Formats: sequence, C-alpha cells, structure tokens
Amino acid sequence: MEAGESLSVRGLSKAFNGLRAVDGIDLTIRKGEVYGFLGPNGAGKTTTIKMILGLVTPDAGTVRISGRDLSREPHEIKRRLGYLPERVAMYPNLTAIQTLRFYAKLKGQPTEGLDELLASVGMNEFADRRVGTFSKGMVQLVGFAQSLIGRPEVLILDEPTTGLDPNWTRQVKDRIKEANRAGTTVFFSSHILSEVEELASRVAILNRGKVVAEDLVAALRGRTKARPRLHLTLHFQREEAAAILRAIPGVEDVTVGEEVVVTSDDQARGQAIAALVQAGIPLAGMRTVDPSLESVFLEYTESTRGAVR
Amino acid sequence: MSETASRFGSLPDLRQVRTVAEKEFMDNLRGKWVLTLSLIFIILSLVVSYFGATQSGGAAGLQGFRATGAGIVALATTLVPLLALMLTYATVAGERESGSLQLLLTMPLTRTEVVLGKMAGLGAVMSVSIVAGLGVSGVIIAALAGTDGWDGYALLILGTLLFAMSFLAVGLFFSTLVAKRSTALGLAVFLWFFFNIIYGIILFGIAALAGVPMSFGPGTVIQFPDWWWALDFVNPGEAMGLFASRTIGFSEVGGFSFGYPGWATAGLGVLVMLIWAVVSTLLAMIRVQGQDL
Repeated sequence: MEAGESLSVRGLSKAFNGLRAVDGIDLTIRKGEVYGFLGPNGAGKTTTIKMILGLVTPDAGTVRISGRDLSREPHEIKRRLGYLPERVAMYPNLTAIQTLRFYAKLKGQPTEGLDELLASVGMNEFADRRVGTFSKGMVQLVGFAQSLIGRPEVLILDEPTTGLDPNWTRQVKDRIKEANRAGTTVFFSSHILSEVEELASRVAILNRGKVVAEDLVAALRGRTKARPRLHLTLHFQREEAAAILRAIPGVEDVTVGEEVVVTSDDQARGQAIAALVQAGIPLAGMRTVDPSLESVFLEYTESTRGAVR
Repeated sequence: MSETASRFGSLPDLRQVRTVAEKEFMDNLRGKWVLTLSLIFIILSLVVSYFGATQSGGAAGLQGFRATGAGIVALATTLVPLLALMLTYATVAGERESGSLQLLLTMPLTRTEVVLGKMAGLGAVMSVSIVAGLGVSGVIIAALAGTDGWDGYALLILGTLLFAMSFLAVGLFFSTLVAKRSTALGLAVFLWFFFNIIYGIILFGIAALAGVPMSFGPGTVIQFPDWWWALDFVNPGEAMGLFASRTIGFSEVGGFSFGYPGWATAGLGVLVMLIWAVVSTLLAMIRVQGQDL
C-alpha cells in the first residue's frame, strides 16, 4: 500500500456456486477522496463491499485499510471504519439513542455527543422513540448516524440515499460532504448517477464482477464516445438554421425540437454559431451540455467489449 | 480469511461480550419478554401447586413445597425448553435474515464475542424470569402453606436455571445453522417435539427391541438396564428429572415410579445439563466462524 492510500483492494475474487461474482478486482482509494462505486444490479458491488468489511471471505485477494491488512488486524481496521449497509436493519425494541449508544460502546467510543449526531441527521426529536416504530427512511437515517460514530477515517456507504425523500437525501449528502471536509475518506456505491456526479471525485464502474473503468469523473466523460452537445434556442427559422448547421463539416447530428441540438466536435461547434450569425438568424440563447455520467455508465456496462482501465 | 482463525484463537473481550449481552437483555425487556415469561412461571407454578393434589385424588388447595415439587419439575421440563427455544430460534437466523447481524459484525468484535454475548443476554432474560416467576410463587406458597421443604424448592430453581441454559444453548446453536427465521422456527418446534416426545418413544422402542420386560400400571416400578438409563440421561429433560428427583426426593411422575440406578446421582444430572450448555455454545461459536453473511 502506497502512502496516501486509504483503502486498497488487490486481486479480490469471489465465486458463489461456481459463478464468479467478483473477478480479481483492484481498487485504490486515496486519503480524503470521495470515491463512487457504480455498476448495474448484480455487478458485484455489495459482494465487494462485504469482502472489504470482512463479512464475506474472498476466494483470493487482499484488502488494506489505513495501511493495515484486514486479515491480520480486523479490529484495528473496524475501529476506523463507518459502514452503512444497503438494507439497514436495527433492533426494533431499542430507541434511536439506545441504538447509537450500543454501537458507540462496541466501537469503544464515548456515548456523549450522540444526541448531537442524531440532530445532525434531523432525528433529534425521535431520539427516545423505538426504532421499530420508524419508517424505512428514518431507520436509514439512524443507520447513517451510526456510520458517523467516532468520526471514522473511512466511511463505506452502500446506496446511502435509498428510501430517503429529497429533504433527507440532501441532509445525507451534506453530512457526507461535511465528513469528507473533516478528512474522512468516503467510498460509496450508488445507482443514482446524479448523486455520484455530485459527490464523487473519482469513480469505478463494475460490470460482471470486473472493474471496467476507473478514473476522475471528468476524465471518464472525456473517454466516452458521446460528444458534448450544443443546445440553441431559436424563436424563428429553426428548420432553416438546421439546414445550415447540417452543412458544416464535423457536425454529426442536428435535431429540431423546442431547442435545436447540435452534436459535433469542438471546432464545428464554433463554426455553427458563426454560420447562424452570418445568416442573420437571431439566437435567443445557447448552452453546451457535456455527456453525462449516465452515458459513460451505459457505454461501459452495455457491453464488456468497451472495457477500458 | 485468517481473521476467523486468529480471532477464534484469542480470548474474547469481556467488555464486548457484556455490551452485546446488555443489548439482548434490554431488547427483550422492552419487548415485554421478561415480564411475559415471569408471569407464565408465576401463574403455572401456582396452578400446579393448587391443583396438583387433585391428580392423586386429593382436594384442591395450595400445597407446600414438597408436594409442589414434582409438579414444578413436570412444568419445567415441558415449558422451559419451549420458552428457551422460542427465545433463541431467531437470535442468529433472524438477525442474519434482517441484516442486523451484518452491521453488528462490522464493529470491532469477534463472532465468538457475539455468540457469548447473546448467550449471556438471553441467559439473563431466562434467569430473571425463572427466579422472579418461581420466586414469587415460592413466597406465596411459603406464606400460605408453610416453609417446610423450601431448601429443596430453592435447589429446584437452580436446577431449572441450568436446564434453561442447556436449551438456550441448543436453540442458539440451531439458530446458527439456518439463514431464515421461518426455517429456524420450524427447527425449534421439531427440537421441542424431539426432546419431549420423540426421544422417549425411541428409547422405549429400543428397550422393547432389546427385550427389556415392561409392564405399566399404577404402582409399577419399571426396571431398566444401566445402558438404557445412560441413554435416557443424555436427554437434558431427563437429566433435569434426575436432578430434581435426587434433590427433592420424589420418584413418581404420572403414576409411574422410576427405580433410578444407584450411580444416577443429582451430580450426574447437573453434569449432563452443563455439558449440553457448554458443548452447544461451543458448537455455535464454531459454526459462525467464516460464514459468509
């Protein structure tokens, strides 16, 4: 493990009944970064996370967290970890605050300040209510508060906003950013691509148990075959404008709707605007839309032929 | 992963065991299990004491400790396994199915500590219920029917505690074998039937096949060979019966008298129950190591 690495996974593999769920993956998460872990359902994300946590024994490979080998120092590693499972289940007869006290004691953390932790996720008024009476979203929030106990060095979140309404989703995202600003490394899986784009600096895309792409979000966008698109707002002469634009070399596609959308290379985009101005067609507005992480995700997961490291 | 081997080999951290035990106890206390079990023991033991004499032609009325003893044993050997199995069947399987076990095991504690903590916590739930239930009954019996034989009754409570531990451990072990709460419940029901009904039927069948002379009827003293008794005492329920018989001095249940062999002492009953409690807990500890969750 190199200096500056917070979590490193090497050659991790796991098969269930002869079926390879995770196939020799390598991951490196640097200290202080927010790392998104993407993949379609059944790609092996949760199995990977469970192996990182020691819940599933790998067939091969190593996991190192904060410089320590999981197989040798599991306790030391787990003291430094915060984890939110995809499906949060807690003890229904304990109150929210008793639940946090239980996990704090197990982590060897003080039980003072847990009320503030609950308040930070908006659950302070429910501190003395039994978890069994909570909605799924409220259980998720208590689970998230649990993961933050003791300011962990590494936070592992499996689909952290599943089941949350928009207000609570915002609350969780803000706390993730806050924890990261305070120095916590965040490794999270999600199928909500906008969430990954908002939170993660780097992402890995997992498909059929293999990492098919790993890079900065911006760099991944650059690697995709999908091009940035120019959205032009025209109140008049849309068809005439489309005809002019289609004639420009480097323009791949022009669609006419409420906006005229031009897919082209960078040079053609400049020429398109100039051509419209020269033709006297008035432009009411324009914007460039970069390819989304969604298009990158689809490109890498629709076919394993596109696998690039 | 070698985590399993290294952790199983090291001594458990008692603070972690205590934290898990406290959680189990609190969870069951708030879930009204402790209160429910205590009330069951109070009500049924008083019913046994009040109506116990009517079975042998006596009048209804609260009996003293000596007359109540045999009825309490019959109550304990039937009820305690049922309650212990109901308390433990989902303790691992249910948590595994819901996902709370996975979260628990991401904490810095070993699987051995989880098993020991659960055993200690559930043991406390059963112990408090038994001591409170049979204790309150004992106080009522003492107040209304006299204190003669209280020491035997106290020993009976201790024996019942050990008996409960043996079935808690059995339930805990079987809970580690399955991944679903519903399967675990089916297994618990089967275990109760096995130890309370099927085991005896099998033993009597073996005796018949072996040509042991048996004639049943009131006042009959059934004589079985030593090997048969040895097999009989393997059942923790029979071990509890032996312990109770030797400590409070009854030798007749349901009209049948048992001529226990001389070597069958109260200590043997204690030993058998202890072995069940310890071995089943150890098996549960071994079983959970390395399980993928």
